[in-house]
Amino acid sequence: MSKIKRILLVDDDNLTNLFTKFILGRYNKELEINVCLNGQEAINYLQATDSPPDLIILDVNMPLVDGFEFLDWQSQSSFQETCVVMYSTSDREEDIKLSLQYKQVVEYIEKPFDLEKVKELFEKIEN
Amino acid sequence: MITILIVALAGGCVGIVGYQSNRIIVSSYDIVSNESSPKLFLLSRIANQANRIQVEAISYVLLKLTQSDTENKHDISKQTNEELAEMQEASEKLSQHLKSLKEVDCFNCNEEDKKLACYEIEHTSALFLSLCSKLVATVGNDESKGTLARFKNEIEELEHVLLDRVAEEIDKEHIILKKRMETAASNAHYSTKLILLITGLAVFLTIVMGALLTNSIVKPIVKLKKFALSVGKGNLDQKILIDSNDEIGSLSKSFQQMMNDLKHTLEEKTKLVELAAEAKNEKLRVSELKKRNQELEEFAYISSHDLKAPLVNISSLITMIEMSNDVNENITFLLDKIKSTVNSMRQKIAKLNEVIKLKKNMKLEPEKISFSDHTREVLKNLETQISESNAIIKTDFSNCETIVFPSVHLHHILINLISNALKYRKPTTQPVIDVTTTKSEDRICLIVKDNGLGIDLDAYGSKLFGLFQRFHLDIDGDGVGLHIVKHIIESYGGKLQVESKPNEGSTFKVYLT
Repeated sequence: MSKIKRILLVDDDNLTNLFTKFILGRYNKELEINVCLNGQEAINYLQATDSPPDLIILDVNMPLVDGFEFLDWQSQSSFQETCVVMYSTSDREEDIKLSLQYKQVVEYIEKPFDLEKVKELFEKIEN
Repeated sequence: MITILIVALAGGCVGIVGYQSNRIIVSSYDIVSNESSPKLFLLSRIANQANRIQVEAISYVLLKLTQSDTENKHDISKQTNEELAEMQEASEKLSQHLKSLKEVDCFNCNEEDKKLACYEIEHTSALFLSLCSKLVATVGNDESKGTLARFKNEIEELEHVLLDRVAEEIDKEHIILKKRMETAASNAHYSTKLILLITGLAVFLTIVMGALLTNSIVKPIVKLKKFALSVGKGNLDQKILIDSNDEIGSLSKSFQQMMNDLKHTLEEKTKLVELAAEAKNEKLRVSELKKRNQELEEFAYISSHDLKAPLVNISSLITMIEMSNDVNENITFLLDKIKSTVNSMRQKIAKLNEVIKLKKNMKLEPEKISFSDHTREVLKNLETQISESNAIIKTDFSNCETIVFPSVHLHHILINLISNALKYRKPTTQPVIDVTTTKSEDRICLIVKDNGLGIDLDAYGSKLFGLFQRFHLDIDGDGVGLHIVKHIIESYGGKLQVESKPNEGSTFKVYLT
């Protein structure tokens, strides 16, 4: 797995996004992080961008198009190889089971991030 | 009413017919009286006697004539022949009179007719007598004079007797007829009275019978009709008070029976309808409850999720502050306090989620479980707590060794009850926990008994199984365990009983089926 340089953060909670960016910045200052506030915005972003992300950090509960709906779209798109990390407030078993059924999903992480979790995640993906 | 009139009319007819027949009897009696024989008999007797006298007289004269002198024979015979012819004529006249007397209707005979009849007889007799006297004078014989005189006397006597007898007989006849007439009239009168009485009686009886019939037939039918109408209106709680052994009685009994059956059927129907309504209500209630439960679970999930999100953000912000460079010791102390508060809140929310999850996943598939194996596993999980508290755990499953129950839930029950017993031990006493089973009438009971702190059931009994309820605030607990245990047990139709006294310990009895 190549090194992760660009990350797309999809979450409707601005404070979470602020914190996630802060933690990821602490882990690696060189990471390029883009933020979308819901699934629809993320779809629009991916269809428009010239530089697709290496990793998508995806919240489950969002307005308009939620995490699972985005995964459905992604599975049928040209971005189906892009790794996705599910990121959720709840630890509902159904959600965990369901998300791991998607090939592109590598991890399901319960909020909030901390440095340890980020390190573990990057090690897992990059190796 | 119509019945009464008809019967009265019939009685009247009977009376009229009776009266008419009486009249016929009376008139027929009159006819018989008119043609009665005594009168005819009497008259024929008179005629016979007259004839006899006549014949005797003639024969006597002829005898006397044959005995007379031959000398005067010729003259005498000539004279005598004339006399005889006259006598013959007179006697014929007499006989005719007698005949006409015979024809007189005695019933209608008045005094004048009678007198005329008597006169005729008298006259004829007198003529006859004079002829006889002339004859005697012509003969001129003394001896024959005497004989003729005697004969004359005899005839006179006879004539008197005859006339007397006739008058007497006629009077007698009259009296008898009068009496008979009177008797007949009185009989007729009496009969008329009798008939009238009978007619009256018949009418009276008819009315009485009619009334009785009305009473015994019409009244019950009217009663029955009223009853039927009343039943038709839905009044089924009444009784027919007709107590007779005839058809009406049996009809009313059948009717009563029918009504009772109807009542019974209606009651059954009402019951069924009630049951159906109840069942429907119950169904509605159940579905309503299910819906509410679902809503509640959803609400609980969303609120636990949405409550968690701000807490997550607070911890995130704390992390960000901690990671910034300008943090002094005072701030670190406060941040730690905030962190622990947030953590406790997160734990509570996590527990709440756990409760919701458990309640949602009720009714798992039961399996055969050995109590001793299962308890051993549970005790392994609690190893740390047991060794820390230096507790003695005694198990005895000889009364009931196995049970068919979902293992996840039995595990939950056992681990909660035993960990509670360990947690709420008396600090000064070594904890002793008895885990046993009993079985009676297919009811399996799991008993966990300890010698710990106990609970004041009088004060807190009602709250014991409430969510987040805690009774020993100095000991760490989440107030969820017993709530879930009770919920699990009850979802399988079981029962959880507690016996406890402060400072003596508690006994939890779990009736599993």
